[in-house]
Amino acid sequence: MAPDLRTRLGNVELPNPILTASGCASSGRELAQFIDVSKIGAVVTKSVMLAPRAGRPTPRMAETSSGMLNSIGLQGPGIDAFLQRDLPWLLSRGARTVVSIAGSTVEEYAELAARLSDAAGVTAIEVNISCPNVEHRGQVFACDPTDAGAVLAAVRSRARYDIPVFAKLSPDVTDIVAIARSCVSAGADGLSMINTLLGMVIDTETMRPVLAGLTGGLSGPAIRPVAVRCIWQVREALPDVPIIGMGGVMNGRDALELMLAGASMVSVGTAIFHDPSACARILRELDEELVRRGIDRVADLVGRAHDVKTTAGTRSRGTVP
Amino acid sequence: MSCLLVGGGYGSAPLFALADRLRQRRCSVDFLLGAASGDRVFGALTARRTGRSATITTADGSLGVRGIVTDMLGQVIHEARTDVIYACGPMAMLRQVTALARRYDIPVQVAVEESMACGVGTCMTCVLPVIGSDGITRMVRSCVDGPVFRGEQVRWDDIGTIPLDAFGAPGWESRAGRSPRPAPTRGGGHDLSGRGAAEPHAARSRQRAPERRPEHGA
Repeated sequence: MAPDLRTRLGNVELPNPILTASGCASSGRELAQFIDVSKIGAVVTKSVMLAPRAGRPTPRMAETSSGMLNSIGLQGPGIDAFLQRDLPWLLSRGARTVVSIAGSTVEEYAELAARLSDAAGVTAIEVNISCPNVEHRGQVFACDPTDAGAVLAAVRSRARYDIPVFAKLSPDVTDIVAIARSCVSAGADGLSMINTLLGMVIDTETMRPVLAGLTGGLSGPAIRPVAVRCIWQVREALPDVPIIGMGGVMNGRDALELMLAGASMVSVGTAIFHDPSACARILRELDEELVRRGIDRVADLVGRAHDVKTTAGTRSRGTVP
Repeated sequence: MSCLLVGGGYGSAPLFALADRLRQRRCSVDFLLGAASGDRVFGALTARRTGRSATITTADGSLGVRGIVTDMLGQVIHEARTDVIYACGPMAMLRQVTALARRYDIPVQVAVEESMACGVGTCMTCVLPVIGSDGITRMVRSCVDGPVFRGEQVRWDDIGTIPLDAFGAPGWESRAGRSPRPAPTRGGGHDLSGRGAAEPHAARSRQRAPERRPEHGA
């Protein structure tokens, strides 16, 4: 019998736990020529802001060992165009949509949440708090528990009661559990982790940084162990808070690993860039991984690595140091 | 129609399919291909066999004329009585071909080259500033919004920057002439690289009033 892949996202039931990662699937339209966007768990949109935004100058990408840096700068058409064009399209295709929002002040986030609450087709809101806070000397919201909490409280209070709100956390912090706690205390229904890690590449021929924006976000397989660690730590501290896991997931086995750490859903990002059908493929592979292990329900896997007996058994065989 | 197909390095590759299509439409096809050395000129033999004329340039002089394609462009345009130019190759070449085509008042289409992550329109890596038919500059994706643009639509001087009047640039609405407030001078902006914003206002004024200086030695 095929395993039960159904997953809960707040009040909504998703047919399966594989999502796109924000920024890697635009608003789903381009991927629709490769996959049926209604067949994956949900489409997580590129972060939408209040106003249109041109982003950062090019070059915006640098390849690295087992990963890449991007410095796009949230280029996008703004919330008006998103509500008019992208969201209705996703709804018409039967996709479940997690709308990622970004702002530079707490009020911008709150206004975006309010605008989305009046629209049809919003399954959940993912709050991208890895943006500089113009009211706090450009300090990134995600790096300060108070700022992060303020954004989540504002979004939660302005978002419709039945729309789950997830906070997307940055791994570039000393104590990710402290940020996670602050977001959950402020009203976040769940957590998404991890965003990219800040990195830099210097061209040794030109002797200058490769990216026009100087620094960029590192993604891809290189960061997967960081994602697994962050998810593990937060799951350990907040075992009842649902987690959307992401970070270098390239195949079904990787998705399984994040779920074992504590993610109940998994977003696929950088893998889409070399395989636009990656979400459908990884969903198929995850199904095969479950069948191979004789697991009937994907929900049974979530956080399984925290199980004392499982951990002890693994250690006794000495396969993990 | 007399069509001139200009290719730099492997940029020649897509020109041959285009040449087939143009010949089906009873256009004559001239080639102007260049590269660093003879072994890097893609399709030189095909160009000689199938083109009405084929001019080759190499930087080291190992094949054809020593120099770069734009050295020969004026001469080829005169001899072939070119009506339209299609170009594909490095951005610096496309920029020069566009500038020369405008001096001769010849329409030019270019296939641009920008580094891409996804190639299907999702990642927003391969953007460049292009003036739309509504006169507004947008950071468009070369992979799906291009890669072929009319040469004069591309803001060559501003590639690698976000022009201050581009759609979505900070304060773009006033700079794009959308309010009575006069456009401020340079400042702020996204360019953190020290590459210079390359005078976006000058580029805009050129766009409004194309320069038509007399040709000098191509």
